[in-house]
Amino acid sequence: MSKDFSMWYTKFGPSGDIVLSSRVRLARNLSDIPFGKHMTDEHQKTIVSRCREALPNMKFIDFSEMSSAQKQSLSECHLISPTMAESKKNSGILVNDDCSSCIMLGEEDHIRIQAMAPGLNLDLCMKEANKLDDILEAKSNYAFHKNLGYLTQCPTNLGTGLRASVMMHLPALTQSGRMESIIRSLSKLGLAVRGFYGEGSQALGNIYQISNQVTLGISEEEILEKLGFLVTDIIEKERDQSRRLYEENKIVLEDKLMRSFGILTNAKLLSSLETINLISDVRWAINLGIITTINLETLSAAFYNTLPATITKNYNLTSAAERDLKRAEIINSSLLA
Amino acid sequence: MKCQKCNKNDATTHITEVINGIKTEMYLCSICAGESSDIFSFAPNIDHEFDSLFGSFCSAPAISKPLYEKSICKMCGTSISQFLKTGKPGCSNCYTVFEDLLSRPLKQIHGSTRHTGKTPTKLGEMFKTEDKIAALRAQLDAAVAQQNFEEAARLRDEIKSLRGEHK
Repeated sequence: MSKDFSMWYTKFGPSGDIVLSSRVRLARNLSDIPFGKHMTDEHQKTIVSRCREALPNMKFIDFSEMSSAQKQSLSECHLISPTMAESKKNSGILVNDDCSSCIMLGEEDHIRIQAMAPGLNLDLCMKEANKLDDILEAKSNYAFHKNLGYLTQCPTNLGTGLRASVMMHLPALTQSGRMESIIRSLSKLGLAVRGFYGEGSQALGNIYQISNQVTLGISEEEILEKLGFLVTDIIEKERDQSRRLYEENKIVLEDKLMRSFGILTNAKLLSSLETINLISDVRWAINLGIITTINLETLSAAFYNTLPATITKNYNLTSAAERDLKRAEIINSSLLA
Repeated sequence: MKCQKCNKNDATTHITEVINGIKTEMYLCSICAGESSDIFSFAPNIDHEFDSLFGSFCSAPAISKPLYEKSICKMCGTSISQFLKTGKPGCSNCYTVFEDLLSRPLKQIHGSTRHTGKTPTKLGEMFKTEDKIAALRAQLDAAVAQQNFEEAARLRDEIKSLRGEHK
Protein backbone atom coordinates (compact mmCIF):
# COMPACT_ATOMS: atom_id res chain seq x y z
CA MET A 1 0.00 0.00 0.00
CA SER A 2 2.60 2.52 1.01
CA LYS A 3 4.53 1.72 -2.14
CA ASP A 4 1.73 3.57 -3.91
CA PHE A 5 1.60 6.23 -1.21
CA SER A 6 5.20 7.15 -1.78
CA MET A 7 4.68 7.46 -5.53
CA TRP A 8 3.87 11.17 -5.66
CA TYR A 9 6.66 11.74 -3.25
CA THR A 10 9.37 10.23 -5.37
CA LYS A 11 8.45 12.42 -8.35
CA PHE A 12 10.64 15.30 -9.41
CA GLY A 13 8.97 18.71 -9.01
CA PRO A 14 9.96 22.38 -9.48
CA SER A 15 13.44 23.02 -8.00
CA GLY A 16 13.49 19.28 -7.35
CA ASP A 17 17.28 19.23 -7.05
CA ILE A 18 16.92 20.92 -3.64
CA VAL A 19 13.24 20.78 -2.68
CA LEU A 20 11.85 17.31 -2.02
CA SER A 21 8.27 18.35 -1.38
CA SER A 22 5.83 21.07 -0.38
CA ARG A 23 2.89 20.75 1.93
CA VAL A 24 -0.02 22.83 3.17
CA ARG A 25 -1.98 21.86 6.26
CA LEU A 26 -5.22 23.45 7.45
CA ALA A 27 -6.38 22.81 11.02
CA ARG A 28 -10.16 22.84 11.40
CA ASN A 29 -12.57 21.91 14.19
CA LEU A 30 -16.30 21.34 14.44
CA SER A 31 -18.10 23.82 16.69
CA ASP A 32 -20.29 21.30 18.51
CA ILE A 33 -17.56 18.79 19.41
CA PRO A 34 -15.10 19.33 22.27
CA PHE A 35 -11.30 19.00 22.00
CA GLY A 36 -8.75 16.47 23.24
CA LYS A 37 -9.58 14.59 26.39
CA HIS A 38 -13.19 15.80 26.36
CA MET A 39 -13.73 13.96 23.10
CA THR A 40 -15.53 10.61 23.40
CA ASP A 41 -15.56 7.66 21.00
CA GLU A 42 -18.97 8.87 19.85
CA HIS A 43 -17.53 12.27 19.01
CA GLN A 44 -14.75 10.58 17.04
CA LYS A 45 -17.31 8.60 15.09
CA THR A 46 -19.33 11.74 14.39
CA ILE A 47 -16.28 13.53 12.97
CA VAL A 48 -15.46 10.56 10.75
CA SER A 49 -19.02 10.09 9.50
CA ARG A 50 -19.61 13.79 8.76
CA CYS A 51 -16.39 14.09 6.78
CA ARG A 52 -16.92 10.84 4.89
CA GLU A 53 -20.39 12.01 3.94
CA ALA A 54 -19.10 15.36 2.75
CA LEU A 55 -16.31 13.79 0.68
CA PRO A 56 -17.66 10.52 -0.72
CA ASN A 57 -15.01 10.37 -3.45
CA MET A 58 -12.13 10.11 -1.02
CA LYS A 59 -11.02 6.75 0.30
CA PHE A 60 -11.36 6.19 4.04
CA ILE A 61 -8.61 4.32 5.89
CA ASP A 62 -9.77 3.10 9.29
CA PHE A 63 -7.01 3.16 11.90
CA SER A 64 -8.72 0.74 14.24
CA GLU A 65 -7.99 -1.99 11.69
CA MET A 66 -4.31 -1.17 11.22
CA SER A 67 -1.15 -2.45 12.88
CA SER A 68 1.30 -0.08 14.44
CA ALA A 69 3.80 -0.71 11.60
CA GLN A 70 1.14 0.08 9.00
CA LYS A 71 0.35 3.39 10.71
CA GLN A 72 4.00 4.29 11.10
CA SER A 73 4.52 3.53 7.45
CA LEU A 74 1.90 6.16 6.60
CA SER A 75 3.80 8.58 8.78
CA GLU A 76 7.07 7.77 7.00
CA CYS A 77 5.39 8.65 3.71
CA HIS A 78 4.23 11.91 5.34
CA LEU A 79 0.56 11.10 5.05
CA ILE A 80 0.01 11.39 8.79
CA SER A 81 1.92 12.91 11.69
CA PRO A 82 4.06 10.71 13.97
CA THR A 83 1.70 11.65 16.83
CA MET A 84 -1.24 10.27 14.89
CA ALA A 85 0.67 7.08 14.10
CA GLU A 86 1.09 6.46 17.83
CA SER A 87 -2.45 7.41 18.75
CA LYS A 88 -4.70 4.66 20.07
CA LYS A 89 -7.86 6.54 19.17
CA ASN A 90 -10.43 5.26 16.68
CA SER A 91 -9.46 7.71 14.04
CA GLY A 92 -8.70 7.46 10.39
CA ILE A 93 -7.81 9.37 7.26
CA LEU A 94 -9.43 10.29 3.98
CA VAL A 95 -7.12 10.19 0.97
CA ASN A 96 -7.48 10.96 -2.73
CA ASP A 97 -6.37 8.65 -5.54
CA ASP A 98 -2.66 9.45 -5.58
CA CYS A 99 -2.59 10.21 -1.84
CA SER A 100 -1.35 13.76 -2.44
CA SER A 101 -4.33 14.99 -0.43
CA CYS A 102 -5.06 13.53 2.95
CA ILE A 103 -7.44 14.53 5.70
CA MET A 104 -6.50 13.39 9.19
CA LEU A 105 -9.60 12.91 11.33
CA GLY A 106 -9.67 13.14 15.10
CA GLU A 107 -6.00 13.96 15.50
CA GLU A 108 -5.01 16.94 17.65
CA ASP A 109 -7.63 18.88 15.72
CA HIS A 110 -10.86 17.29 14.55
CA ILE A 111 -9.93 17.84 10.92
CA ARG A 112 -6.51 18.41 9.41
CA ILE A 113 -6.56 18.91 5.69
CA GLN A 114 -3.22 18.28 3.99
CA ALA A 115 -2.22 18.75 0.39
CA MET A 116 1.24 17.80 -0.82
CA ALA A 117 3.22 18.14 -4.02
CA PRO A 118 6.70 17.20 -5.20
CA GLY A 119 9.25 20.04 -5.39
CA LEU A 120 8.46 23.67 -4.55
CA ASN A 121 4.77 24.09 -5.32
CA LEU A 122 3.02 25.74 -2.39
CA ASP A 123 0.35 27.39 -4.56
CA LEU A 124 -0.85 24.07 -5.92
CA CYS A 125 -0.97 22.65 -2.37
CA MET A 126 -2.97 25.64 -1.14
CA LYS A 127 -5.40 25.37 -4.03
CA GLU A 128 -6.03 21.69 -3.33
CA ALA A 129 -6.38 22.20 0.43
CA ASN A 130 -8.78 25.11 -0.10
CA LYS A 131 -10.95 23.00 -2.39
CA LEU A 132 -11.38 20.34 0.30
CA ASP A 133 -11.83 23.00 2.98
CA ASP A 134 -14.67 24.67 1.06
CA ILE A 135 -16.49 21.37 0.58
CA LEU A 136 -16.19 20.46 4.26
CA GLU A 137 -17.16 23.97 5.35
CA ALA A 138 -20.33 23.94 3.25
CA LYS A 139 -21.47 20.71 4.90
CA SER A 140 -20.48 21.34 8.52
CA ASN A 141 -20.17 24.05 11.13
CA TYR A 142 -16.57 24.98 11.71
CA ALA A 143 -15.44 26.45 15.03
CA PHE A 144 -14.59 30.00 14.03
CA HIS A 145 -14.16 33.17 16.08
CA LYS A 146 -14.41 36.62 14.56
CA ASN A 147 -11.14 37.82 16.12
CA LEU A 148 -9.24 34.56 16.56
CA GLY A 149 -10.13 32.96 13.23
CA TYR A 150 -10.28 29.17 12.94
CA LEU A 151 -10.28 27.77 16.46
CA THR A 152 -7.73 25.05 17.03
CA GLN A 153 -6.88 22.85 19.95
CA CYS A 154 -3.48 24.49 20.28
CA PRO A 155 -3.37 28.31 20.40
CA THR A 156 -0.22 28.27 18.24
CA ASN A 157 -2.40 27.30 15.25
CA LEU A 158 -5.17 29.88 15.73
CA GLY A 159 -6.12 32.23 12.92
CA THR A 160 -5.59 30.66 9.53
CA GLY A 161 -4.81 27.22 11.02
CA LEU A 162 -2.33 27.06 8.14
CA ARG A 163 1.03 25.40 8.32
CA ALA A 164 2.88 25.54 5.03
CA SER A 165 6.12 23.64 4.85
CA VAL A 166 8.85 22.81 2.42
CA MET A 167 11.24 19.86 2.73
CA MET A 168 14.73 20.77 1.54
CA HIS A 169 17.94 18.83 1.04
CA LEU A 170 20.84 21.12 1.98
CA PRO A 171 24.12 19.17 2.10
CA ALA A 172 26.47 21.97 0.97
CA LEU A 173 25.13 24.55 3.42
CA THR A 174 25.26 21.97 6.20
CA GLN A 175 28.79 20.85 5.39
CA SER A 176 30.08 24.39 5.30
CA GLY A 177 28.56 25.13 8.70
CA ARG A 178 26.17 27.78 7.41
CA MET A 179 22.93 26.13 8.51
CA GLU A 180 23.12 27.30 12.10
CA SER A 181 23.12 30.94 11.14
CA ILE A 182 20.46 30.36 8.47
CA ILE A 183 18.23 28.64 11.03
CA ARG A 184 18.74 31.53 13.45
CA SER A 185 17.87 34.10 10.78
CA LEU A 186 14.79 32.20 9.62
CA SER A 187 13.58 31.92 13.18
CA LYS A 188 13.82 35.71 13.55
CA LEU A 189 11.72 36.00 10.40
CA GLY A 190 9.00 33.81 11.89
CA LEU A 191 9.88 30.54 10.17
CA ALA A 192 10.63 27.27 11.95
CA VAL A 193 13.30 24.85 10.79
CA ARG A 194 13.07 21.23 11.80
CA GLY A 195 14.94 18.11 10.93
CA PHE A 196 13.68 15.18 8.91
CA TYR A 197 10.33 13.89 10.15
CA GLY A 198 8.92 16.67 12.22
CA GLU A 199 9.36 18.52 15.42
CA GLY A 200 12.46 18.42 17.52
CA SER A 201 14.26 15.90 15.38
CA GLN A 202 17.80 16.23 14.12
CA ALA A 203 18.38 17.09 10.51
CA LEU A 204 18.90 13.52 9.37
CA GLY A 205 20.39 13.22 5.92
CA ASN A 206 20.76 17.01 5.58
CA ILE A 207 17.00 17.27 5.12
CA TYR A 208 15.29 20.27 6.69
CA GLN A 209 11.64 21.10 6.94
CA ILE A 210 11.01 24.84 6.80
CA SER A 211 7.59 26.13 7.83
CA ASN A 212 5.72 29.19 9.02
CA GLN A 213 5.31 29.68 12.78
CA VAL A 214 2.81 32.51 12.84
CA THR A 215 -0.79 31.75 11.90
CA LEU A 216 -2.73 34.66 13.40
CA GLY A 217 -2.82 38.22 12.06
CA ILE A 218 -1.37 37.22 8.69
CA SER A 219 -3.32 36.05 5.65
CA GLU A 220 -2.82 32.74 3.84
CA GLU A 221 -1.38 34.53 0.80
CA GLU A 222 1.13 36.43 2.94
CA ILE A 223 2.26 33.24 4.69
CA LEU A 224 2.87 31.45 1.39
CA GLU A 225 4.55 34.45 -0.21
CA LYS A 226 6.99 34.88 2.66
CA LEU A 227 7.84 31.17 2.87
CA GLY A 228 8.22 30.86 -0.91
CA PHE A 229 10.45 33.90 -1.08
CA LEU A 230 12.81 32.71 1.66
CA VAL A 231 12.90 29.14 0.34
CA THR A 232 13.85 30.42 -3.11
CA ASP A 233 16.68 32.35 -1.53
CA ILE A 234 17.93 29.25 0.32
CA ILE A 235 17.76 27.21 -2.91
CA GLU A 236 20.11 29.73 -4.56
CA LYS A 237 22.43 29.71 -1.55
CA GLU A 238 22.63 25.90 -1.60
CA ARG A 239 23.30 25.75 -5.35
CA ASP A 240 26.03 28.39 -5.03
CA GLN A 241 27.68 26.74 -2.06
CA SER A 242 27.54 23.35 -3.72
CA ARG A 243 29.20 24.70 -6.88
CA ARG A 244 31.88 26.45 -4.85
CA LEU A 245 32.67 23.38 -2.70
CA TYR A 246 32.95 21.25 -5.82
CA GLU A 247 35.23 23.70 -7.61
CA GLU A 248 37.49 24.08 -4.59
CA ASN A 249 37.81 20.39 -3.69
CA LYS A 250 36.74 18.44 -6.75
CA ILE A 251 38.55 15.17 -6.06
CA VAL A 252 37.98 15.21 -2.29
CA LEU A 253 34.23 15.74 -2.69
CA GLU A 254 33.96 13.18 -5.52
CA ASP A 255 35.82 10.68 -3.35
CA LYS A 256 33.52 11.25 -0.37
CA LEU A 257 30.31 10.99 -2.39
CA MET A 258 31.42 8.01 -4.48
CA ARG A 259 32.44 6.14 -1.33
CA SER A 260 28.86 6.52 -0.10
CA PHE A 261 27.60 5.23 -3.46
CA GLY A 262 30.03 2.34 -3.09
CA ILE A 263 28.64 1.42 0.32
CA LEU A 264 25.00 1.68 -0.80
CA THR A 265 25.62 -0.54 -3.82
CA ASN A 266 27.74 -3.15 -2.01
CA ALA A 267 26.93 -3.28 1.70
CA LYS A 268 25.15 -6.36 3.00
CA LEU A 269 23.58 -4.64 6.03
CA LEU A 270 22.29 -1.08 6.05
CA SER A 271 20.66 0.61 9.05
CA SER A 272 18.07 3.32 8.38
CA LEU A 273 20.21 6.04 9.93
CA GLU A 274 23.27 5.11 7.89
CA THR A 275 21.13 4.88 4.74
CA ILE A 276 19.65 8.36 5.18
CA ASN A 277 23.09 9.89 5.38
CA LEU A 278 24.54 7.89 2.49
CA ILE A 279 21.53 8.62 0.28
CA SER A 280 22.06 12.30 1.00
CA ASP A 281 25.58 11.98 -0.47
CA VAL A 282 24.31 10.16 -3.54
CA ARG A 283 21.59 12.77 -4.05
CA TRP A 284 24.24 15.44 -3.96
CA ALA A 285 26.44 13.48 -6.39
CA ILE A 286 23.54 13.15 -8.86
CA ASN A 287 22.93 16.92 -8.67
CA LEU A 288 26.60 17.63 -9.32
CA GLY A 289 26.61 15.26 -12.29
CA ILE A 290 29.13 12.94 -10.62
CA ILE A 291 26.70 10.01 -10.78
CA THR A 292 24.74 9.71 -14.00
CA THR A 293 23.62 6.08 -13.97
CA ILE A 294 20.56 6.69 -11.77
CA ASN A 295 18.15 9.60 -11.34
CA LEU A 296 16.70 11.29 -8.25
CA GLU A 297 13.33 9.57 -8.63
CA THR A 298 14.92 6.09 -8.46
CA LEU A 299 16.90 7.17 -5.44
CA SER A 300 13.83 8.57 -3.66
CA ALA A 301 11.83 5.42 -4.35
CA ALA A 302 14.61 3.25 -2.88
CA PHE A 303 14.76 5.52 0.15
CA TYR A 304 11.02 5.63 0.92
CA ASN A 305 10.54 1.91 0.34
CA THR A 306 13.22 1.01 2.85
CA LEU A 307 12.19 3.24 5.76
CA PRO A 308 11.81 1.15 8.93
CA ALA A 309 8.04 0.76 9.28
CA THR A 310 7.44 0.58 5.53
CA ILE A 311 9.96 -2.22 5.02
CA THR A 312 8.68 -4.02 8.13
CA LYS A 313 5.15 -3.94 6.79
CA ASN A 314 5.91 -4.69 3.14
CA TYR A 315 8.14 -7.70 3.84
CA ASN A 316 6.62 -8.86 7.09
CA LEU A 317 9.90 -8.50 8.99
CA THR A 318 10.23 -8.71 12.73
CA SER A 319 13.69 -7.53 13.74
CA ALA A 320 16.03 -4.64 13.05
CA ALA A 321 18.62 -7.14 11.76
CA GLU A 322 16.17 -8.49 9.19
CA ARG A 323 15.33 -4.95 8.12
CA ASP A 324 18.98 -4.01 7.66
CA LEU A 325 19.56 -7.07 5.49
CA LYS A 326 16.46 -6.48 3.34
CA ARG A 327 17.20 -2.75 3.07
CA ALA A 328 20.70 -3.42 1.76
CA GLU A 329 19.34 -5.92 -0.76
CA ILE A 330 16.72 -3.45 -2.12
CA ILE A 331 19.12 -0.52 -2.25
CA ASN A 332 21.95 -2.52 -3.85
CA SER A 333 19.71 -3.61 -6.70
CA SER A 334 17.85 -0.33 -7.29
CA LEU A 335 21.02 1.77 -7.36
CA LEU A 336 22.81 -0.58 -9.72
CA ALA A 337 19.87 -0.81 -12.10
CA MET B 1 15.51 -9.94 30.66
CA LYS B 2 11.89 -9.42 29.53
CA CYS B 3 10.87 -6.87 26.88
CA GLN B 4 10.06 -3.54 28.55
CA LYS B 5 7.16 -2.89 26.24
CA CYS B 6 5.13 -6.11 26.20
CA ASN B 7 6.68 -7.77 29.27
CA LYS B 8 6.17 -11.14 27.58
CA ASN B 9 9.05 -12.08 25.28
CA ASP B 10 12.77 -11.97 25.93
CA ALA B 11 14.44 -8.66 25.16
CA THR B 12 16.82 -8.94 22.22
CA THR B 13 17.17 -5.32 21.05
CA HIS B 14 18.67 -2.38 22.88
CA ILE B 15 17.31 1.07 21.93
CA THR B 16 18.81 4.32 23.17
CA GLU B 17 16.97 7.62 22.82
CA VAL B 18 18.33 11.05 23.61
CA ILE B 19 15.55 13.58 23.97
CA ASN B 20 16.50 17.11 25.00
CA GLY B 21 19.75 15.78 26.41
CA ILE B 22 18.04 13.10 28.51
CA LYS B 23 19.11 9.60 27.63
CA THR B 24 16.66 6.73 27.96
CA GLU B 25 17.43 3.11 27.25
CA MET B 26 14.94 0.41 26.33
CA TYR B 27 15.30 -3.31 26.01
CA LEU B 28 12.72 -4.71 23.61
CA CYS B 29 11.84 -8.06 22.08
CA SER B 30 12.21 -8.43 18.32
CA ILE B 31 8.46 -7.96 17.73
CA CYS B 32 8.16 -4.70 19.68
CA ALA B 33 11.42 -3.46 18.22
CA GLY B 34 10.08 -4.26 14.76
CA GLU B 35 7.00 -2.17 15.46
CA SER B 36 8.80 0.76 16.97
CA SER B 37 10.50 2.54 14.16
CA ASP B 38 14.13 3.51 14.56
CA ILE B 39 13.51 6.81 12.80
CA PHE B 40 10.95 8.08 15.24
CA SER B 41 13.19 7.72 18.23
CA PHE B 42 14.80 10.83 16.75
CA ALA B 43 11.56 12.80 16.69
CA PRO B 44 10.48 13.54 20.26
CA ASN B 45 7.11 15.09 20.86
CA ILE B 46 7.46 18.54 22.38
CA ASP B 47 3.77 18.99 23.13
CA HIS B 48 3.94 18.25 26.84
CA GLU B 49 6.46 20.94 27.47
CA PHE B 50 4.48 23.39 25.43
CA ASP B 51 1.34 22.81 27.50
CA SER B 52 2.87 23.87 30.78
CA LEU B 53 4.82 26.74 29.25
CA PHE B 54 1.77 28.17 27.56
CA GLY B 55 -0.27 27.77 30.74
CA SER B 56 2.20 29.76 32.78
CA PHE B 57 2.15 32.38 30.07
CA CYS B 58 -1.62 32.75 30.33
CA SER B 59 -1.60 32.97 34.10
CA ALA B 60 0.78 35.92 34.04
CA PRO B 61 -1.84 38.72 34.13
CA ALA B 62 -3.44 39.28 37.52
CA ILE B 63 -6.93 37.83 37.67
CA SER B 64 -9.46 39.14 40.17
CA LYS B 65 -11.09 36.58 42.41
CA PRO B 66 -14.72 36.95 41.28
CA LEU B 67 -13.70 36.42 37.66
CA TYR B 68 -11.58 33.47 38.68
CA GLU B 69 -14.51 31.77 40.32
CA LYS B 70 -17.05 32.49 37.63
CA SER B 71 -15.13 31.48 34.58
CA ILE B 72 -16.14 27.97 33.66
CA CYS B 73 -16.85 26.97 30.10
CA LYS B 74 -20.49 25.89 29.95
CA MET B 75 -19.96 23.68 26.93
CA CYS B 76 -17.14 21.42 28.19
CA GLY B 77 -16.86 22.34 31.90
CA THR B 78 -13.23 23.49 31.71
CA SER B 79 -12.52 25.81 34.63
CA ILE B 80 -10.17 28.74 34.52
CA SER B 81 -7.65 26.92 36.73
CA GLN B 82 -7.65 23.91 34.42
CA PHE B 83 -7.17 26.18 31.45
CA LEU B 84 -4.26 27.97 33.10
CA LYS B 85 -2.63 24.69 34.01
CA THR B 86 -2.63 23.21 30.53
CA GLY B 87 -2.90 26.28 28.30
CA LYS B 88 -5.27 24.24 26.18
CA PRO B 89 -8.97 24.90 25.74
CA GLY B 90 -11.41 22.01 26.25
CA CYS B 91 -13.58 23.09 23.34
CA SER B 92 -14.05 25.92 20.86
CA ASN B 93 -16.33 27.80 23.29
CA CYS B 94 -13.43 28.07 25.78
CA TYR B 95 -11.85 30.61 23.45
CA THR B 96 -14.81 32.93 23.97
CA VAL B 97 -14.90 32.34 27.74
CA PHE B 98 -11.14 32.79 28.25
CA GLU B 99 -10.48 35.24 25.41
CA ASP B 100 -9.17 37.98 27.72
CA LEU B 101 -6.51 35.67 29.16
CA LEU B 102 -5.22 34.82 25.73
CA SER B 103 -4.40 38.23 24.35
CA ARG B 104 -0.99 38.46 25.98
CA PRO B 105 0.35 35.04 24.99
CA LEU B 106 -1.15 35.36 21.51
CA LYS B 107 0.59 38.66 20.99
CA GLN B 108 3.86 37.02 22.02
CA ILE B 109 3.41 34.00 19.77
CA HIS B 110 1.79 35.55 16.73
CA GLY B 111 2.43 39.26 17.20
CA SER B 112 -1.31 39.76 16.77
CA THR B 113 -4.67 38.92 18.31
CA ARG B 114 -6.78 39.45 15.22
CA HIS B 115 -7.38 37.05 12.34
CA THR B 116 -7.01 38.55 8.86
CA GLY B 117 -7.21 35.49 6.60
CA LYS B 118 -9.94 33.29 5.17
CA THR B 119 -13.41 33.33 6.73
CA PRO B 120 -15.98 30.58 6.22
CA THR B 121 -18.49 31.84 3.63
CA LYS B 122 -21.52 31.24 5.85
CA LEU B 123 -20.02 33.05 8.82
CA GLY B 124 -18.56 35.80 6.65
CA GLU B 125 -22.10 36.96 5.77
CA MET B 126 -23.11 36.87 9.41
CA PHE B 127 -20.10 38.93 10.47
CA LYS B 128 -20.85 41.55 7.82
CA THR B 129 -24.42 41.85 9.15
CA GLU B 130 -23.14 42.08 12.73
CA ASP B 131 -20.77 44.88 11.80
CA LYS B 132 -23.56 46.72 10.01
CA ILE B 133 -25.86 46.36 13.04
CA ALA B 134 -23.14 47.66 15.37
CA ALA B 135 -22.68 50.73 13.16
CA LEU B 136 -26.43 51.38 13.02
CA ARG B 137 -26.62 51.00 16.81
CA ALA B 138 -24.08 53.76 17.26
CA GLN B 139 -26.09 56.00 14.90
CA LEU B 140 -29.26 55.13 16.84
CA ASP B 141 -27.66 56.14 20.15
CA ALA B 142 -26.53 59.41 18.62
CA ALA B 143 -30.01 60.10 17.19
CA VAL B 144 -31.64 59.45 20.59
CA ALA B 145 -29.12 61.73 22.30
CA GLN B 146 -30.00 64.48 19.81
CA GLN B 147 -33.72 63.75 20.35
CA ASN B 148 -34.08 63.03 16.64
CA PHE B 149 -36.78 60.44 17.21
CA GLU B 150 -37.86 60.17 13.60
CA GLU B 151 -34.36 59.13 12.57
CA ALA B 152 -34.09 56.86 15.65
CA ALA B 153 -37.27 55.02 14.66
CA ARG B 154 -35.99 54.53 11.12
CA LEU B 155 -32.68 53.14 12.40
CA ARG B 156 -34.47 50.85 14.85
CA ASP B 157 -36.54 49.38 12.04
CA GLU B 158 -33.47 48.88 9.91
CA ILE B 159 -31.69 47.03 12.72
CA LYS B 160 -34.76 44.91 13.28
CA SER B 161 -34.99 43.92 9.66
CA LEU B 162 -31.27 43.04 9.50
CA ARG B 163 -31.67 40.86 12.59
CA GLY B 164 -34.71 39.20 11.08
CA GLU B 165 -32.84 38.43 7.89
CA HIS B 166 -30.27 36.61 9.84
CA LYS B 167 -32.56 34.37 11.88
